[in-house]
Amino acid sequence: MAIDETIPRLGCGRSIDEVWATIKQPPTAHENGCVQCRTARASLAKLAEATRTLRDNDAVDPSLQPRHAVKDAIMNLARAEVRRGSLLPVYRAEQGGITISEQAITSVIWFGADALPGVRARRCRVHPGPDTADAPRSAGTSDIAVNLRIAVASGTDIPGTAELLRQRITSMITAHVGLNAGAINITVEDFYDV
Amino acid sequence: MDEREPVVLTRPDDLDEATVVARAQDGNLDAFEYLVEAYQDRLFRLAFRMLHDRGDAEDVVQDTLVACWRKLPLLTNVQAFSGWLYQMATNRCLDSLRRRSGHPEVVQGPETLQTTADSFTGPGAGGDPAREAEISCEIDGLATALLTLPPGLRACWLLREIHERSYAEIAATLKVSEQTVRGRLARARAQLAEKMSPWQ
Repeated sequence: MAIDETIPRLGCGRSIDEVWATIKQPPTAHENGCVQCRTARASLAKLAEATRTLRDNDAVDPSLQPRHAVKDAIMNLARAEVRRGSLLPVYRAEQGGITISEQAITSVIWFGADALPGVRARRCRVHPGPDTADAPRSAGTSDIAVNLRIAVASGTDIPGTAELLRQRITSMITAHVGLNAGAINITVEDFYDV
Repeated sequence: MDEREPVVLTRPDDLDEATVVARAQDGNLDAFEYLVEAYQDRLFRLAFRMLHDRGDAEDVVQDTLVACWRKLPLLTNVQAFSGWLYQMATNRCLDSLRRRSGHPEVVQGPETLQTTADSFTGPGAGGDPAREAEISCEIDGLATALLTLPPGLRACWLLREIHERSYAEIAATLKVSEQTVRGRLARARAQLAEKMSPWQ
């Protein structure tokens, strides 16, 4: 069937949309007197009722759910293609170095941020600090820079909270990762309702 | 304060969806799994009502959520997540129907529709067999009528009436104007109403 863009009209000239829009209200004088409008109203009302039934029943019908195997397949693939971000050098000695994934550091940062009331940590990028050369260096001496986007609860004191968050991220990174946090850039991208 | 407490993240259930989406974008599997659980049933219901085939509907759910994992880092607005998922799922349904139209032998007869319709129970009926039969009959009639609509109209109607997506989002999903969405919805309603209770 060719799809044209016009809205169907009844023989009396009214569009189906007009009848539909007032289906929950009592019929107008025209609708009472017009056979076509009365018929259309009755069948659209029946459709509205059936639509509600279909929506409510489908939502709870256990036979209308995918098998567990579908989620298993999705998650297996996601695990196989897991994204850990870039690898950051933590420690380098003559015998070799230690790197840590951006994702591992991000988890520590999220964890630190979660403990602060009114803060939801979102996307996070971690970069090696500017002076991170390949020269040997001992643990705890290399710098990283953090860019963190957050949402805050409505009514949060943003400067005060951001400063607390910065301190918390610095101490978490030192304690868990053995790195020095250099620049910690925080972007408040959204408010959320508590 | 001991800063070396175990790193246990707040569970996704206790976060807002935009934050969960952002964490899944950064590769957090728990966040992604939460989103899979939150959306797989909805996407399945959309796909099943579009395709009327469980296997094909499951394929759409799986393809959509795998593509979601792969493309998530590219999503710029976390608030647009659900619309973006619905768009991917709808397009996969329409692709599946296009592929099917090249193989007319798989078009299902009324017997197949009836078998599936019989499997519906009426959880809202509260154990009243008469009301259950009525509900089952209502759903059967509408679901069967729905399958006679052209795919573009069916997608429009399902997205709006069953999944309550906005006109703007449906327009973006189907790459048509909002005016066209309104026109298609009106025609879908008119055709469904007429199929369920002939006007003449």
